[in-house]
Amino acid sequence: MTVGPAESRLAERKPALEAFLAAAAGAEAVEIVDARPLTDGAIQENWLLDLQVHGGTFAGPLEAVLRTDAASAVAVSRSRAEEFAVLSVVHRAGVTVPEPLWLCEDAGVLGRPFYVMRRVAGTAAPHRLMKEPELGGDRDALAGRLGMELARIHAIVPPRAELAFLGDPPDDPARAAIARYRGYLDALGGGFLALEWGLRWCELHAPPPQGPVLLHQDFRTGNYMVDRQGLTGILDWEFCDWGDPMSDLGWFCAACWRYAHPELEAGGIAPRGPFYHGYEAVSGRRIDPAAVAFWEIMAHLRWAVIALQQGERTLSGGEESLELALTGRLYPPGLEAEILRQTAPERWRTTP
Amino acid sequence: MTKRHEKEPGRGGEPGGARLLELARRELLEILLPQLQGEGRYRARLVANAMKIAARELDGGPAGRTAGAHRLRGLAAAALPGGVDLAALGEAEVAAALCTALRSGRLDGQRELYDLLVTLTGKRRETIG
Repeated sequence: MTVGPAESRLAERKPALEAFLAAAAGAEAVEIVDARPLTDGAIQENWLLDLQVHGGTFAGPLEAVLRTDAASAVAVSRSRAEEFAVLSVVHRAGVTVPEPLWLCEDAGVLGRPFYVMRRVAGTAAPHRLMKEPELGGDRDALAGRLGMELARIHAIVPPRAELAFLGDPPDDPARAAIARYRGYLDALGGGFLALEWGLRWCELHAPPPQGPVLLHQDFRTGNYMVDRQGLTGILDWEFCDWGDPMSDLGWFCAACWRYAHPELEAGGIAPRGPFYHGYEAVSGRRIDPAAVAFWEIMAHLRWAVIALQQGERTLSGGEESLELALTGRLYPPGLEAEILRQTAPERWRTTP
Repeated sequence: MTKRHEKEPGRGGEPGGARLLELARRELLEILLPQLQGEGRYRARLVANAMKIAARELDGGPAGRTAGAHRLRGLAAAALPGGVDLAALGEAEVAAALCTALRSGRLDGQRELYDLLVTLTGKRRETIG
């Protein structure tokens, strides 16, 4: 096991973790051959585990990922147990995800709940996808595949007993989100005029709600893994909820998630065409481009609010994180500029 | 590269915060960064970025902000119902009053406010850019 200060927590718990894994896998024994932390996000902590399973149906080497809460978990994201439940449901529905293996809610093992999934190959790093054209295989095909995957997620509709923790779907997801963002801005001290401008526009121009369906809510470049052939797994299910399917399409296509390729409107990897075609072919739903455009503005509003909340964690929250402070400082102005660009006075249907 | 630095308020020969940050950033990027790898390089870039923003803010922030605040006050005077004593309101209260007016629909699609918001957002982008 690679040893360093950050790893000591897992190193100390190695016997307990091995015992848990053996019991969960129905094995005689499980040996942790190697464990390396993945530096990933401020919310979750991910570990690469190289396991050797002795006996049982998993016998042999097993490459896995262990996911647990970071020290500074955010209250708005789902718990590991809920994430595991979602992952299990979408895996059974045929969505390409890392296979969920075992959930541990016993704090006696690692000190926090965690789950283990089978590792998928490749990378999710946006800067690599932007720079290495051979990654992800043919990019139009990749976008089409992502559209199909999203349609499979959206085929899951409420009510679902395993997902009861998601609560009841909102009647009008757009207006519910607008009210929620206004509440968050008030909690941050208010005075965010450009965001308020955008929220008011959205309130007046929301398309009729669709759904409700299961949403991923962070379906974008950076949250799916690819290798040289194509998609290997969709990640980061912590923001799942019921809602309007068009909101996931808007999030994926929003300018703020196109990285170095703003001209490739489907996630910076391809034109919208193949992505939309893949989605429509599997969902049977016709995409209204105006509805997606609306949800792209909402995407910018949502990301701006989240960035401000992350920045606030270093203020009233007292967290000593330069990364979070810069998130709150660097992202909102650019997001506001894009929101304003898309909500110019001539684009208001109702004028005073 | 040979930009002249205005003497900051205070005594001659004592470089102010903006100049110190600028020099510290140069030291970080030109001398320390090449010695770092991987995660260290990423962290050093974050630090350099934060120093750049802080230096710019120290250098030219307040003047631009005051002009924007003045125009917001003017807009608030036009948008808010009579009887509100704007002179008695602070900057944050003016913004809060405009937010309330926006939410209630009193500023729907208003060109003057829109143009000002575009300008103010542009200025904030310049500071971080």
